[in-house]
Amino acid sequence: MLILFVLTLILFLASVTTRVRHWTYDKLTETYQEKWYPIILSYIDGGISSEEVEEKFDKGGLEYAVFEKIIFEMMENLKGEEVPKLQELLYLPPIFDHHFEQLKSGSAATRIKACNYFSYIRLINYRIIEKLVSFLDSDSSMLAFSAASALTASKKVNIRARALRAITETPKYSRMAILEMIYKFHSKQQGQLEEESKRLKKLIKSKEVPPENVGILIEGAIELGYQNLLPFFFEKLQSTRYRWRNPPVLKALIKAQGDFFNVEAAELIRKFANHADPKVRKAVVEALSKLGGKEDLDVIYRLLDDDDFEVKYTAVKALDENGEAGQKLLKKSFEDPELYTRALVNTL
Amino acid sequence: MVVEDNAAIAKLITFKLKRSGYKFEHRENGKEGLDAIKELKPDLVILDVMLPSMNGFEILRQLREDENTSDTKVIMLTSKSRVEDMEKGFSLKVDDYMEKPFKPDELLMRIQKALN
Repeated sequence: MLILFVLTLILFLASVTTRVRHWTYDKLTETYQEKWYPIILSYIDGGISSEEVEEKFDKGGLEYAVFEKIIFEMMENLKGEEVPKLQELLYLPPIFDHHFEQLKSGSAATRIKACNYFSYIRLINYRIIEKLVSFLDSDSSMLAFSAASALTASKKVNIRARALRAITETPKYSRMAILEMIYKFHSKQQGQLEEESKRLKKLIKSKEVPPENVGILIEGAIELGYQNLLPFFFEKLQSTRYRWRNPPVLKALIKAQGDFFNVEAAELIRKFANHADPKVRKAVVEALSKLGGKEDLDVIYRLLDDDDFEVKYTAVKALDENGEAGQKLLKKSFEDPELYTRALVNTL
Repeated sequence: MVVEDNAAIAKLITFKLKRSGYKFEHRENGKEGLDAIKELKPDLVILDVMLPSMNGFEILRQLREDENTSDTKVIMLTSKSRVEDMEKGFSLKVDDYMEKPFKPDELLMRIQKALN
């Protein structure tokens, strides 16, 4: 009985302590919000300078977090002259130093917070780069990804490529994570396309990158319009080496020919129409549909009889979208008792 | 009337409105926003689309259906840039539309224009 009473009491006290902690946290957050909203708004309005804002910091930790959250939320929702002004507040020494100290922390969660900050402010100096690069091999994939994201804020292609390499060399990241990293690697600054292409080529050729990730890299490059990589992709499509015949890679190389309208590749692509992997056959249909010659449509017509539903469906769609010639073949298929394309056409 | 659940944005808009000499009320919840509009009958509503308890389109639809509020001027603010959202807004006779991210001074100009 006594044990039960003591246990209940301990649980009760633990619950009260947690509630008090949450309440204190919420109250403090509210206090800091009340303090910082007018200061930040007055700064945006030109009422006070950034130096004056800096003088108003009392404590670190939660106060910095509340301050940053206000800035981030405003930056996400605003455009125009307010945005660089708000960004300037993130460079204030107390904030910057606080995050630099966080980078040295032993806790992965604290380091991730610092990475997110450096990713946001796009101010990367060598002291920070050195720290961030050391996190790329971390056992915590969240930390490694956050560090890589922060590094992609760099203006230097080699640093962004280092981040992309760290993420693509490991099989543990999802397709979305890798694609996100390629998008971050791609700079909108003019004059970096050649250097970026060289780095991408090197990565695609690297034996350290698993084939699935090579395929994603190629698809990312297509999405981002690296048209100058087409000769390289075509050359690899012509290669008979196992590396380039691996289904995820082959599929992406075929897609590149179609998306970049390389008519020269059509003959070679047609040869993959009987490939064992349905994803490759589907890529063949999609690419040939874009290249659109008569022989290409005939191959697509034959794939109406494919064992795989996805391939069959893509072939119906491709013929439907290929003008009069495609429509003619589609109608012809209706007469073939072996094909059930009419039912598929109705689902388009 | 400002109906916006993002505290930072609401603070910024109301700060700008105050500086420009406008009187305003702020609600951060869709249902409360609609009740306040019906009760206070403001000259203009700045209405966010994504709101807790009732979205901006539903508020707009209810305003247009009620003869006491059918003429209330509404400027919609949304983070969605999808065309269908804009079409939906215009089919419900929204007076103006601004996409987030937005320029606060442009919003003030649109408010002025709508009120004139």
